[in-house]
Order: sequence, then C-alpha cells, then structure tokens
Amino acid sequence: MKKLPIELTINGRAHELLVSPKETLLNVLRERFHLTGAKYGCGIGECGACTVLLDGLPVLSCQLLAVMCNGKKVVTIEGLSPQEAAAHPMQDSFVEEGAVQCGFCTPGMVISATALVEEKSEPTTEDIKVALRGNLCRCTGYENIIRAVKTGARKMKEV
Amino acid sequence: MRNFRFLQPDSVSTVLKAKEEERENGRILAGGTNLLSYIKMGRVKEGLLIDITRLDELKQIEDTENEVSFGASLTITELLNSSVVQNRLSYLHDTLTHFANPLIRNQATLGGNIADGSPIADTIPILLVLDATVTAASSKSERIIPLKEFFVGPGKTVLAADELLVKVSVPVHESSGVKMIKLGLRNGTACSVTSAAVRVEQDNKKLREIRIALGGVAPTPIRAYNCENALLDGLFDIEAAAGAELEALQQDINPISDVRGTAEYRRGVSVNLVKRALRSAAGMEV
Repeated sequence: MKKLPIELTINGRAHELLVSPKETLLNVLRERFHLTGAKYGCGIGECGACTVLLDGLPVLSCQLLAVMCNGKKVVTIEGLSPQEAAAHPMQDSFVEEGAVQCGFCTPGMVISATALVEEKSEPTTEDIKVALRGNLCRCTGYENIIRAVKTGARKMKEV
Repeated sequence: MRNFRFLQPDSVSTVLKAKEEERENGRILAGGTNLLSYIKMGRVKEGLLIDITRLDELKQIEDTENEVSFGASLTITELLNSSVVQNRLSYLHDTLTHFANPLIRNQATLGGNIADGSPIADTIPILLVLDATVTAASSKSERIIPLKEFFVGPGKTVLAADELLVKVSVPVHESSGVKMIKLGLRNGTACSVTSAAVRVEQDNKKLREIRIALGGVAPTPIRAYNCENALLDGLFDIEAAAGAELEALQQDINPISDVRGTAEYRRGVSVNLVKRALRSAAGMEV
C-alpha cells in the first residue's frame, strides 16, 4: 500500500507524517503519538470510547481514516486542558463527582461533555443525556457522570 | 493484506471518472461510519477509497418554492443546523434528532445513509412519505430516481457501478402533517427494530391523501401501499383512520426474526407505530 503524506495539528502542535490509506485516526494517535487516552472499544461506532475533537466537533476516531483528516485540527483528552500543567475543569469535575469507575469510557465522555458545554453553557439533565448518547459506560455510573457534567459546566463558566 | 488506495478528488467529475474506471472497486467514502465498519469486518477487502467530504458541490442546499435539495455529502449535523431544515422541513429536523447518536451525526451523511441500502436506515421512511427523489450521476449522464424505486434488497440499490448519488430532493408539502417514529431497543445509537413514517393531508377531518412508509419490516424500506389504499378507499375520517385495525398493513410487510425482535413482534408493533405516527401527523393526541 502506498503511503500518503498528511499534515495534522494534534493538541496544538503541527505534524507531518506518512500514513497508509487504511490507517484510522485512532491508530495514528495511539501508536504513533502514544496518545492512549482515546480507546479502541467496539470498533463500529457504538461505544464512543474513541471520541476526539476534529475541528472542534466530537467524532469517532476509529471510524475515520487519518488521510481524511489531512489539514485538520485534532484535540484528544491529553490536550483538552488549555493549561499544560492542570486538568480541564471537566476532568476535575469527573474526579470530584466520582464519575470514573473503570475509566475506559471517561476520555470520550469528557470530550463529548466539553463539546456540549461549549455550545450550551447551562445544560439540563435531558441535554446531557442526549449529548452523551454516543458514549456508553458499562460500569453503569451514569448518575454521577450527569452530575459531573453539570459541575463541569459551572466550573467552565468560572474560568 | 488488505489493499486500499486513496483518492481525494477536487471535483465531482473526477469522482465520476474514477467510478467509471474502478466500478464496484471505487468505494465512496463520505462519513465513513458504514464503510470503515465493513472494512474492519472484512466485507470490503480492497479498492480505491474515494473521499468526497471536501467537495463543495456536494454540500449545497437549494431552497426553491416547491422543494429543497440537499447535496449528498452534507452531514446529519449540517442538516440539523440548516435554517431551511429547521423552518421548512421541521418534521425532518425532528426525525434527524433521533439519528444514531451525536458523534455519528457529525460524520454520517444523508447520501451515505441512502446509498448504503440498509432496510433500517434512519432517514428513509420519512423521505419516502415526502416523495423524495435522488439524483444519480455518471460520467455520461444524470438521472433522477424516485426514492420508492431506489431499494432492491438489503444493501442493494439501483445505483449502477459507475454512478454516484449526488443529490437528494425533498418536495415541500405545506399543508401536510408528517411524523416519523423510530423504535430502538434504547434511545442512543440503537439500530431501529422497526420505524414508521406517515404523511397526511386532511380536509375538514376527512383523509384526502396518505403516505405510509416503514423500515425494518422487509428486505428494503417500504411504502405500505395496501394500507394507504385501504384507508383512502374507506373515505375515513381522520379519527376513524387512527382507530382502524390496519389489517391491510400485514400484506405490506414481511418481517424476519433477528436479535432485535421477532417477526411476530414486528407485525404487532408496526400497527402501533403507524397509528401513533398517524395521530401525531394529523395533530391528534397521541
């Protein structure tokens, strides 16, 4: 397979790399850049564990080819916080509210939740349930997750 | 070793030229939410992946007096954000809020949902009751196909190997009531067990025109012609139509049993979904 040159901005840094046509964005992030926050879960777009921001929109990085993302900006959980030394307010809220059990779904949950709050600064419980429909938690800790998103929304307003 | 090549064309005519040369091996890549799953499952093993996501020609919305046309590579999120969809096709907007999940809606395209040919695609029943058409283009010609003639079997459509679905046109029915209901095993990300859409035109509480379409109850999405005709022949008033047993619907559907439900369950629930959609479309209490 012929490799193709692409440019990707990942967590604010521009990179040039060669990818094969069938390489997914998730594989590039995890294997080339060792950004292992986004997870490979179901592989067919049902679980949301691979969620990242692509040009600001939450998408499934295992359902996208890296070549399709040429020239775009990717933000993973590792680069979500504007400050390198501190966690994003939404990450802090997930910790505080006990919204993390096994943690496999958490990076995707936090990315989707942050995208929601960027659009709607005071989301209702229903807004949160709808926005997180693509992110599954198999520890079934949804109550705490919903609370964490509300707390995160309040914190995001303060900063 | 799975062998893929990649093309990011700069115009629709380049896509069509590639389709002419590659035919079935030219795989249209739009949202990728279906195609990547097929590649991972091994259903698609090789070919030229043709990325159509950057073609402005396929991202246009044309708003005319009688119909709205959508470029095939508009994403579901782009449709939801369109003021034309919100204002002139509010029932389509309502349906799209139930499409898969927000992550998939950011990637998946209207054209992809149709061209994939799934019997349970989330947009099809409502497009069928709206009398939507699709435009298929090849390097030689272009043709308009009524959506009701588009599907021939699970994953099979009338699109030829050298054709690209470029446009979806939806007539605007100002005086119709329209409703689609999707029944899944849960609200998010669920494949529908059965879905039903109804469009009604009424005159002083009398049924003047009706369209009924369903997904998940036959090898393709279907129009329920027998049921439509039975309701119209009865010159039903709208209350009576919504209360009818809809026996004729059973001749329209041919469901199977699978992991999501039995054939018998689908036969029963189809009646309930059509009734609920009919009541809602007619502005009655559901």
